[in-house]
Parts: sequence; C-alpha cells; structure tokens
Amino acid sequence: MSTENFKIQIRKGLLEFCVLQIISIKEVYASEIIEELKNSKIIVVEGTVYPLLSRLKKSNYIQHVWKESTQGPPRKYYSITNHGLEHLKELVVSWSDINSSVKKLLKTKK
Amino acid sequence: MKKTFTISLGYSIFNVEEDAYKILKTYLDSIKNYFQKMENDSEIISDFELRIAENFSSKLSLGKQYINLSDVKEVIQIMGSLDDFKEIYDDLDDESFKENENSKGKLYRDSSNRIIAGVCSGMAEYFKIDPIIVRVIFFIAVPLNLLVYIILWIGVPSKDFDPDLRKILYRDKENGIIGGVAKGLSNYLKIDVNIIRVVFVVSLFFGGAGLLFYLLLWFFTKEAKTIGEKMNMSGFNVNLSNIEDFIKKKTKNLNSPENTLTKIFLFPFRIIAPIINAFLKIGVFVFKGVFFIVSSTFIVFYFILLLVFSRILFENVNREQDSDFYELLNAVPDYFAIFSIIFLILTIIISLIISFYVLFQRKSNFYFFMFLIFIWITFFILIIASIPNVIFILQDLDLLPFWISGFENNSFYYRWIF
Repeated sequence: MSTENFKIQIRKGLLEFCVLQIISIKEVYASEIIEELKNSKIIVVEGTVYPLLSRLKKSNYIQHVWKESTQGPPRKYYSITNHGLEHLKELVVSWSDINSSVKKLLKTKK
Repeated sequence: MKKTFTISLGYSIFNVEEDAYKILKTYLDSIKNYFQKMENDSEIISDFELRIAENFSSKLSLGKQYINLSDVKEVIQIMGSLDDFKEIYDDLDDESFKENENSKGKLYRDSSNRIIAGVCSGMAEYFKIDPIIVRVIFFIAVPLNLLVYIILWIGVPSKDFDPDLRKILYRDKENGIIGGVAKGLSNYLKIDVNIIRVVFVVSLFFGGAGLLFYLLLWFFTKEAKTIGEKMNMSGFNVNLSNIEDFIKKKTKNLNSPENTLTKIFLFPFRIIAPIINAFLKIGVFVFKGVFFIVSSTFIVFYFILLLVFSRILFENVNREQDSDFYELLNAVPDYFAIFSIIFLILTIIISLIISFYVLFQRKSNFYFFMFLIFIWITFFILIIASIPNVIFILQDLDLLPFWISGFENNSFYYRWIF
C-alpha cells in the first residue's frame, strides 16, 4: 500500500464529513465548497464534489435554494437540514473517537 | 486561423476552437455517461457544467475571447477524469449500481447492440448473461422462438444500453485469420488466442463441433467496427485518456511477434482463409441469386393468381362453359375473396421490398415495412379463420372436393368447430 493510496483512502472517507461540515457553517454554493476543500487539500479534482452533493441531497442531509448573483448566472446555495445536523453530530463524535485513538497510538509508539 | 464552435454551457456562451471542442465533447459525454450510471441525476451534470463554465470564464479576457485546446485540457485537469472519480466512488458504486439495477429490473429491447430488434440482447441484459447465449438458444428453439420474438418485439420497449457497462463478444476481424471469432473470444475470455485456435482445430476432428460453434459465433456476433466497440472488446473503458492510449497503441502495433510454432500451426489456416472468404462471397452471391429467382417466381405466380381471382370477382364466368367452376365461384363468399386478394397484393409488395433490399442493399422504410407485415399477418389470420366457414358453405352446396370431404369427421376444421 503506497502513501498515495493511503491518502486517497483517507480523503475518500473524510470527504462526506468535510463537505457536511463546510455546509453546516453557513449557506454556500458549490464553487465555495470546492475552494474550501481545495485549500485544505481534501480534494484534488473539482468534479468529485458533485456526485457527493447529489448523494447528500438524496439522503436528505442538505437542501438547496437558487439565488441570483450579481455576476453571472443564478447560483445554487446549499444549507444543512436538521436531519443532516444530526448526522454530522454523529460523524463528529466518531471522528474525534478515531482521532484520539490514533493520537494515542502515535504517542505509545514514541 | 481556426474554426470555432459556439456552445452554451452552464447558462453562458463560449466560442471554442474546433480541436478543443472535440476533446471537450468527448470529455463531457464520458462524464455524463458515468454520472448517469452512478446517480441517475441530471442535476449533477448541469452543476458540473456550471463549474466548467466558471472555469472557462476565468480563462477569458478582453484580449482573448475564445477557448482553446490548452484551456480545455487545463479545465479537464481541474475537474478531474473518470479515473479520479472512480478512485473516490468505486466501492460506493457497487451499492448504488445494485440499487439502480433493482429499480431498473425491467426487460428492455437493447437498441445499442442488436441484430434484428435487440430482443435477445435485452434479455441477456436482464439476466446478466452474454447476448450470444440467448441468441444461440433462440436459434435452436426453432418453433417457439419466432412467436416469442415477435411478441417481445411488439410488447417490450427499446432502450439504449450503455456499451461500456458490459462486455460484449465481438469478432475481431482486423486481427483474425478467418472471421476473427477466435481472436474475439480470446479478447473476451482473456485467454491467449492460440489456445483457442488449437481448441477449435482439435475439435474439428471430433465430429466438427468446433466448426458448428465457430459458425454459430460468426453468425451471432457483430464485428467490432467503431473505436468504442474495439476498446470494449479489448477490455478498455471508454474515456478520454484511454482513447488517447488506445489510439497510440493501435498505431504502434503492440501485437507481439508470433513464435515459429504458432507460425507453422497457423500456416494452413492462412492459406485456407482467402479460399474460405472467396467461397463465402460466392455463397452469398448464389444465395442472393437463388433468393431473387425464387422470389420472382413467387411474384409471377401470385400475379397470375391475382388475375384469376380478379376475374372471378368482377366477371361472371359463363355457366355453360364450366358449370362446376361457376357453382364454386358463387359459393365462395365475397369477403373470403377480398381477403385473399388483399393478402396476395401485400405478399407481392413485401416480396418486392425484400428482394430489392437483398439485391441492391437499399434501405426500405423500416416502420412502413413492419406495418405491411402486420397487415399481412392480419389478413393471413382472417383467411385462416374464414376457411372453416367457406368449407361449410361448400359442403352445404355439395361442392366440396372429395379430398376434403373424404375425412370429414376427422378433419381438423370439423373438430375445431365442434
């Protein structure tokens, strides 16, 4: 298992969590999500976000509204639903669990 | 100077240079295909296009009003290729694929891989087996298949299945020796072509099963012609980078050199191949000739019958000349005569269309043709249904020829009515 593969697996697992987290902070449109994810190096290519958004919407975790923009075409703004918030809370809990146990492992190693 | 295409993408309009347009189109098509398979959600695609449009807009300036190849390549790199998506979504895919399949679990005719109407291929898709198996089964089950096929043809809606989703057995004529069957099989089964050839040849000495199998496969597979089919045949997935790779490989000719043993082994077949091909051509020619002669005799025959019948209908036959015939004519009900005449006219038209089609390879209007056949069958059924009635009328008038009345009580029509 190469480092590259490891990174892919990690990103893959965290992508949904991160997208939900970004949306839960404020109403955003797709390009903002992409920028955020690219800056934090969660995603490499932009296209991967779209299927995920569609999936989250289908699971009723997020919703969207169309808003006029000052420049260019109207934009789709995503916001989190109550259902999505609950889901996110669970994800946060499991993430911090994993995070702390991994940290523990790393410490014992040293 | 370059030609540009004007495209609308995500609510904006762009001028795209021709070479860039081609790449962009291939890319978008492959993406569309993939997302539709994955999520069945058209919104993804429009959102995706919207983002591409944003990226394009950032490439435009007052000094540069068009999109060129390097812009497109850059944007594709930013958006990601199919492989990138697959990396992220592959294991998730299996679930959603299954869900999709369950909800889609309906029988369709496959219009993308069809020989006649796509019934067999559609059934294969339904049962998740190779179309060839269904075709051979259909071919063997002679009395039933025609009826079933026609019923399914009429009753089942057609649908374009995505050829990338499934592996199809094609004949690889380019790399084949006789018909490309063995090479196609080897691509399909991922077995070395020489092994398959040996199996075919050895099976020749055991009652010729291999020959029969070879011919069956030859008849029931399509030759890989388009680049998509060729890639599918060789186990490539159709996407942008793969197309490029594939074309590169094609031009480089990656076929490994054959060793001496295979050369010796294949030598007789290389000699036979042109002979077989020549025989096939002659065979097709003879078949066409025979078909034409037979169909034209039929046509002439039907014309004569038609003339006789029209005489019967519209002119009185002289009672003194032929009293038996006259009686018979009066006894035959009018509707029966009309059915017969329409049936004959239709037969003539259909045989003319078929012979034109076969001889000159002209395309007739398919739906018109189907319509004719449908009417033809209708009248055929009407005629058959009215035969008992006609027989009874004739019987009442004591005009029935002895070869029908002879086994009156056992006759098929007798039992049918009572």
